Amino acid sequence: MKNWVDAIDDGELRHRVSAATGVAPQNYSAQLTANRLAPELAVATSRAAGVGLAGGLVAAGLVTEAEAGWPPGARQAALDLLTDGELAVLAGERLHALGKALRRQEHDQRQTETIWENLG
Amino acid sequence: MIEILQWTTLIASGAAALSRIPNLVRRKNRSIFYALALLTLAILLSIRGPYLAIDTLLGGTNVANLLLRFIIFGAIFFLALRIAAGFGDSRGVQLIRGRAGMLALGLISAVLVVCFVLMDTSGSSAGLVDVAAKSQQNALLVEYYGAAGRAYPAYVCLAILPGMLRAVRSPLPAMLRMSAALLAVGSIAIPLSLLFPLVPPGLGFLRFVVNYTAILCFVAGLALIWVASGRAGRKHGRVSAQRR
Repeated sequence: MKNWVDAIDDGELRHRVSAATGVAPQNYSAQLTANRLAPELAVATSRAAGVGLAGGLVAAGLVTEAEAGWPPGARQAALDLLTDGELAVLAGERLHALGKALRRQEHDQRQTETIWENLG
Repeated sequence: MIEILQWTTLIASGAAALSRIPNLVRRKNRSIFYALALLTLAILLSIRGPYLAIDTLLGGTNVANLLLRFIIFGAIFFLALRIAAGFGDSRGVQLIRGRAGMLALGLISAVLVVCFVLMDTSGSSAGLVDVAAKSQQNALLVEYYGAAGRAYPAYVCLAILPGMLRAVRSPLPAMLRMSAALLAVGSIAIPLSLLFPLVPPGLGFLRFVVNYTAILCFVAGLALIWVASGRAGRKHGRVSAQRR
């Protein structure tokens, strides 16, 4: 879900969505951090980004690609259009994000263990 | 009412110390047991009945009050050091154990002892109330003596407060953040005791409320960490048992 929004975000998307729906930006971001989005927000995001209205619903897993009227294999075809370089950069970005999340988790874990070592 | 608060705090602190005995036997974080035991003794000495009984045994010159102050210093020193180390607050540890902390402890202790020696302290009196009533000079000395006694705990609490506030806002497990919040409340309440001379006599009970609430917050915060650690320990144990 978060990846989908990142992919269609032109930098101002979040502001437009929150202006259009009246949902506070931090609530919107909180939903994305949890990797989910309410259906009405998903549709509003698609509309604000000017992409197919069903895109958000597919990304949220509410409807299948076929139900959204996408031609079979559309996703694969879109991926095939990307060059190796673009794919590598995309994978790199996602790995980087994953690495940061893991490091944060490990840091929190270490902190918790320090507390138990000293006070447990 | 105040008596209830005092005895409740005594029981809570005593129970917390007793709950540490298994760890004491296992030689794990023993200084927390000693600190809690000292704290329990300090609370006992701060209650009128036990104070009079113990001070009479010690000669009836209010040496028990001086003893009480140093017991508090010791308890708060060890507890705060552990807490700051546990929450990874190296600045807090430095402020307590470093030169500034030792200087504060030395100076305040000196003031405490000098004031005590200069006072005419004969006749056991909880809170030195009767001692202060003897003369103008004694009243002034008791005031300074009390301020010195509150100054060191206030210094130590202010040293660990930033670390606690950081921990409350951190992504630590909820239980640990809750205990950090309790410890933060205690660390705010103790320095507030420096303002006691400004409290109007009619609201004197506030002194007791602030003091004992602060101690209860500390004890509850530590107990919560202990509970959380016990739970996590069991969980870890189960996981490693499954792996084997």
